[in-house]
Amino acid sequence: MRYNSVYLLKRLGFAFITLYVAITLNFLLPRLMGGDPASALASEKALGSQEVVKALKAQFGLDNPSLLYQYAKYLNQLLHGNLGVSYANYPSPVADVMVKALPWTFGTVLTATLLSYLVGWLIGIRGAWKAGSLFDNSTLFTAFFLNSVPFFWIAIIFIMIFSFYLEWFPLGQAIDPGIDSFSALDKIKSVLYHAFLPVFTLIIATLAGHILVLRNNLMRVLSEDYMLLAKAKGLSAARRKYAYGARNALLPSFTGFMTSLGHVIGGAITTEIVFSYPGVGLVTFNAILNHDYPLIQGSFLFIAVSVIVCNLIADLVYPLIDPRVALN
Amino acid sequence: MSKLLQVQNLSIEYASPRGVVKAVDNVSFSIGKGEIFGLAGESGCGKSTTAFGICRLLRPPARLAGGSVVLDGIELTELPDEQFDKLRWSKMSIVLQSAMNNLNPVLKIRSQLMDAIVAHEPDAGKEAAKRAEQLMRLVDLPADRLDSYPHELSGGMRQRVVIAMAMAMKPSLVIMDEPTTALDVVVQNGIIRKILELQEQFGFSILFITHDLPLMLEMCDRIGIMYAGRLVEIASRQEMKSGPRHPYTQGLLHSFPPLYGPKRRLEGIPGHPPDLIRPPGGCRFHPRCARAMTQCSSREPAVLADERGQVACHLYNEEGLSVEQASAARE
Ligand SMILES: Nc1ncnc2c1ncn2[C@@H]1O[C@H](COP(=O)(O)OP(=O)(O)OP(=O)(O)O)[C@@H](O)[C@H]1O
Ligand SMILES: [Mg+2]
Repeated sequence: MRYNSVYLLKRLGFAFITLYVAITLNFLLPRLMGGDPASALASEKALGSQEVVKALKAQFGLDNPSLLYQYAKYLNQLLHGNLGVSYANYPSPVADVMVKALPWTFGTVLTATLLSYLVGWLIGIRGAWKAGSLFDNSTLFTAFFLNSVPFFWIAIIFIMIFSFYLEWFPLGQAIDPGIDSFSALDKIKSVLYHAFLPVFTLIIATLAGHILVLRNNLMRVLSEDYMLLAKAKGLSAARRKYAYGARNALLPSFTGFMTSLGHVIGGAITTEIVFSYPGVGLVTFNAILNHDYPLIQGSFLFIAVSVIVCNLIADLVYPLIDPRVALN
Repeated sequence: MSKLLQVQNLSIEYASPRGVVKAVDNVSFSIGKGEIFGLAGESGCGKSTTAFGICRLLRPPARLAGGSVVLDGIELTELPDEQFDKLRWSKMSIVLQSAMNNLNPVLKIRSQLMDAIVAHEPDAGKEAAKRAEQLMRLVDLPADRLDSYPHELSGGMRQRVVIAMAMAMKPSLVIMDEPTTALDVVVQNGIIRKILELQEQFGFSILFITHDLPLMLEMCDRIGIMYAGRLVEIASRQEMKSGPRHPYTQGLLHSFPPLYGPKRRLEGIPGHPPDLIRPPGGCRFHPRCARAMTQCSSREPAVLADERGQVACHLYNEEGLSVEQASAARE
């Protein structure tokens, strides 16, 4: 083992403190946004009846105006694994709403993130290794272009072309309406059919960055003396390219990669809005519009936990793969 | 002494935005079997470029513009890449300048010593592991250092590892490009002694590159002096000590304090090396030369080769005539 228990404890402690701060902010932020969810809900579901407003307030813990009281109640609920009840999806618990949305987000955003890194890295490695070639120049040009185009613009263009005009893909949603009556194979087909365009768009939008970063890193590594010496030693091109070059170029990207994984849950809000895709992003967006405090808190909590956990993993794994890191 | 390496009219250029840098211009020299040949000259005169040209390590924007390199009877400049790769390390190895960065920072010493062996002897396997240990002993490092990463070793130890690595395939030529710069004098001495000891033991030839002329006078059999991409003088150590002929060599020697004898004022050479994109005509050294004559700026000096070595300077070229004189003589 390259690190001692002190390092481990420090990292864990840091993660817990971050989590606590995130939870507290999580509690405060939606309340700072203002608005009165009980009245909003009552006016929507019970013609604004004052009795209903009062009952709802009591149920949501909003009857006591003391923030401290609400905070204590919130923490206590969290400790019991209770994320509360969604206002807008009343009476569904927040956990249920989240659990329903999570698989969609994981399926699309995680797939897109992994594919984007993989493809971006492969292209970046090949480009740097054959710097100045036609392949390198054309991927560089394309990457610079894509990098300067805002994501939502790409997404809207793709929907217009592929969904609206060509009608190759659906305009939104994750599954076909009567999917329950479908055979297993058709169910899978329906899911893939709906997921393709969001995944594709996400890949296109993030690919350029990965290509440019890795190409840049590898170019720097290739200019190092030890690469020249590796060549002088007569090492095979494959060993120089991967064991010496790509490996060293990938190390600085590892932390970025883990951070991206951490942002998978929260990172796809735009995609899910544009594609009306029922993942965590869309749930969060709607929750904000509806002043649905518990749901906002729930989804922010998921996002915070995933970011913190992924960063913790990065901190713990990095010393194992890069021997230069001094641990203290 | 039979010739191991023969470099003929080697020319190397760098394409740069401002124009073509003629970093190495018509350089010719040879190294005998078991000989230590020194290459000296001010920073930027093309020493490293010459070394890279010899072992095909030039990267764009560098380009071999001409010349031939014959190693052990094989013309290297015309060898296809695959065959050249077989020669690498087994016939000639190199220790690069800024030796600290010779090692891959994230691979253990063991795998960096072994991959050189395995690249040439794919079946070496266990045998390669044993040889890695022998190599460490060769440079007085404990074998358990094989499991260290480069940053866990001191600069001197790292340099020993790199030298051990250069010995891995028992090459007949080892190129050492300033192998001891950036090390303190004591460590430096230890490494030089080690290099000489290994050379004695294995009998390989060395192309030794350095700024450090006094060091060179201690350890090299013959010495070549480069100025602005050209080789201006070659002489044996004795000749160099007793009195070099080229004014540049003289100036260079006077830039160092004498090792023995009374102290004298250091003179140095006034001015700066020229821009290699537009080098001065004639002898490239003439703008800085105290003994420059009229023909020096108009005519390139021919190389005079005699029992004392080689020198390219109009001072030693009796029939040297200026362009004007030559054309006048023809009429
Ligand atoms: N990539 C490059 N592009 C343009 N010119 C270059 C490049 N690399 C080197 N040169 C030029 O080539 C010349 C020779 O460089 P080289 O590194 O061979 O010198 P050197 O004698 O080894 O110097 P030093 O003692 O500082 O190592 C220098 O004048 C340098 O400016
Ligand atoms: Mg150099």
